[in-house]
Amino acid sequence: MNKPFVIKERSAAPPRQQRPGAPLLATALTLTLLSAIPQRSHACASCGCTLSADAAMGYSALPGWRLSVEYDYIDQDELRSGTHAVSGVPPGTELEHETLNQYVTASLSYSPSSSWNLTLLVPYVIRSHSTYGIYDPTQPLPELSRSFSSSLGDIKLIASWQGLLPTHNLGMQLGVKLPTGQYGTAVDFYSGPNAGAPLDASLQPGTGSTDVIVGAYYYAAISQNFDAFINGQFQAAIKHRMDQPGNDYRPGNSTTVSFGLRYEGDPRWVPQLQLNLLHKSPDTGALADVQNTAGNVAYLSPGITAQVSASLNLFVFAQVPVYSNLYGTQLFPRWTASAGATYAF
Amino acid sequence: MFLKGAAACLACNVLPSPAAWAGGLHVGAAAPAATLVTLDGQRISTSELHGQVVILTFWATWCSPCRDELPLLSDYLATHGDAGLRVLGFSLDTREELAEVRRVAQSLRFPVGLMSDSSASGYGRIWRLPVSFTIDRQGLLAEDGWKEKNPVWTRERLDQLVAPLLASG
Repeated sequence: MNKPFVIKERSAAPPRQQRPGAPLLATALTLTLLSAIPQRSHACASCGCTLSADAAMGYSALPGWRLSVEYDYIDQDELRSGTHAVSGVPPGTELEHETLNQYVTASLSYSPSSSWNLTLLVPYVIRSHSTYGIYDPTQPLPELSRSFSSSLGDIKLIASWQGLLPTHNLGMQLGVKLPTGQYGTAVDFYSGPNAGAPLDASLQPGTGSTDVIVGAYYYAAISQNFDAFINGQFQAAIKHRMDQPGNDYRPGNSTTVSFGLRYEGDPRWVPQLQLNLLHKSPDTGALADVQNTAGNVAYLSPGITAQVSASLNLFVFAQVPVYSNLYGTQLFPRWTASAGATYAF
Repeated sequence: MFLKGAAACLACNVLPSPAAWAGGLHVGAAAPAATLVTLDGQRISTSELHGQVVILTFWATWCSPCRDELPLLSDYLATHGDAGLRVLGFSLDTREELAEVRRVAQSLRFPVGLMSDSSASGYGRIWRLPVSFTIDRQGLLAEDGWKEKNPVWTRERLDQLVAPLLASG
């Protein structure tokens, strides 16, 4: 799932030619000019959705099919810089208001044997975003510019092999993320001073990139009542459709590591605690905001899985950021929530 | 798969069987029911074995300590079967390893089945191998394998734990 990133700086160039990663324009004259020109938003942030859904539902070595649906709610409404919340942004940079992300991800998983698994993940992205545009302390805050998108995101296909150990609890993953979602300049602002200007590339439903995904996981029972797990995944764009000079965008690489415990004392109710770590490298390209799209984040994620029947499981999780070190200034969630269901057949 | 067959652990952690709870296990109390579905489809329930001493042993083909104790259990059964000893072998192998399970089972004198076909949920998640449970002639739990620091059967342990139960009949 692609995560939005906050981009703060803007240039005075027309919307489709500007370079969001260009040096900050900070002179008063430029500010005056900027305030008069509709701006393209460059809003995105190192936010959540780092939850390990595989671990949440419990890894399985059972052959067969699994159909899952997951819902993620991520409300980025806090401006943060470095390790702290901030009350504002420097003059001449964008003052964002809020990005509300909702993801509905359907996945179909097939295990022909205990050693192999193939999973198709199809996300649907619902995202609203609002920004005040460039902050000018000499002027009253302008009307909010708003955007909204609701469409298919970038599909992932991931193959897992867990045949190394006879217990099938050590797995390796290789996958691909495809550029199936709208990307580039597909979604525009619909209201406010920026109405008609395209939304930042990193806030579009898709990234326009083809990414390779590699990962590994290990899980085991450590006592009669507890399971432990650890997993990691690295994702990097190897090809991007927006590759023309002056109009290119490549999402930054991301690395996630999660580990946690599951209490299996009662198989009908399995409380869990995950720690999810994310390292995000900056986006690059003319349409990227190199300065404000990287960071390191840690989430503590309590949750519970309920076994409704032998083949149907439900889960609900909350994620609370316990550490963040964000480059530049980014909108960040105070908490996130995820819920899902898996049906095995 | 170079690690297959090389599980040289004293006790192997395994993928736990689902929907199991060990909270009802108490030595001296009624042993939870278990049913073994053997490789040839026969169903053997512990409830049908009252009056005999029953060892439930859980194992896997890739578990070295299990493979060491299986012949010992088989030999012990050969010499004590007439005294009322029964052994039921629950294999935690997957169905893909059925051929290897059959090969091992052919050398054993007690019935073997896959855990995935059988039921023993009252004995908790089988999260570590080997593990065994012993039921006396009255159907009471005589030995809780989860409480054993060294769960591997030895001749001395069999003589110490099982022989008195057989003698009590």
